[in-house]
Amino acid sequence: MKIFFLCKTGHHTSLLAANYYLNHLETGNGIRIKEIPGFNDIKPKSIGTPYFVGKDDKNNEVYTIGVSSQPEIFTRVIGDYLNILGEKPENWDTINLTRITSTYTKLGIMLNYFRLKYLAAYFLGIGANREFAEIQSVISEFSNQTQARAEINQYNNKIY
Amino acid sequence: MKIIYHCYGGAHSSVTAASIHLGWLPSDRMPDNEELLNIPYFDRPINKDHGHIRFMGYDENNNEVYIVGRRNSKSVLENICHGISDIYGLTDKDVRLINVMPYVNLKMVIGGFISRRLQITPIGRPIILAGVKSSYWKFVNLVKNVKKETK
Repeated sequence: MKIFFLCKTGHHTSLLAANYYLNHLETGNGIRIKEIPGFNDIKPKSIGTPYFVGKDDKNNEVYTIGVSSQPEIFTRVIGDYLNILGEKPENWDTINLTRITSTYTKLGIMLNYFRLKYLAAYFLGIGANREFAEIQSVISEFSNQTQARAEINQYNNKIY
Repeated sequence: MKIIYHCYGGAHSSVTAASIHLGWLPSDRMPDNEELLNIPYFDRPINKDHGHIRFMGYDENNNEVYIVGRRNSKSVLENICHGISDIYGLTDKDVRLINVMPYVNLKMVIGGFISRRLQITPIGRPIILAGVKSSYWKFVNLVKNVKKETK
């Protein structure tokens, strides 16, 4: 299965969430964004290119994708594109995190575009920590749904 | 092979190009208004249809032809599709994305805005039809090149 975490750039909120999902995140003294590989490593022209984060304990591949400021449109594109490639819906999933992105993160992204890197990093750090609680909630819900789906499939396989 | 024509709204230029590709519109003469209005999805999609990749049909080489509206985010669409293709081991020989926006003229932009965004179809539609006819031979040439490359 392939799991796609979505946010504006694919290298901020979604990357944080993907790393948390994969248990790659140290949260002891708050989120340290410098320790997250690929965080804030964006080139505007490459937004949309899937970024491979890792595999979970069930060997599912985890990616992040930037959807710019059009999450609804590109969630449809991703779903329809996978469909026309012949991928069954049970073989992939998308988690849209664009609504979680905090104002601090958005400000940090904007400062980055103007090459004010140190100021950007300051706001991105605050943003990441502000978003974390909601990310935990989203991941928890996603994990429960995935578990429930797996149990239903197992049950159906036993019957048939 | 899958061929995806894309434009801003998936309502005019991509639909026209895809229809020429599939032989629903002529490539040796100018179509009349009725022929243009009869093609599927022409001046029909609205905002919530943007992003849906719509199947149009099979061409003479059994290639699948699709259209999609992606607003102003051409590079995001292309990056997503190419990136996902890479994940699944597909290449340009399996999927081709064709950007039709370079052939869109001002009449089509204005007519499209009036018809689709403002929903004043009686005013917008004639402007779009005039615009499509102005660029029609450019669409025909585009399709000829696409067919040459995808044989």
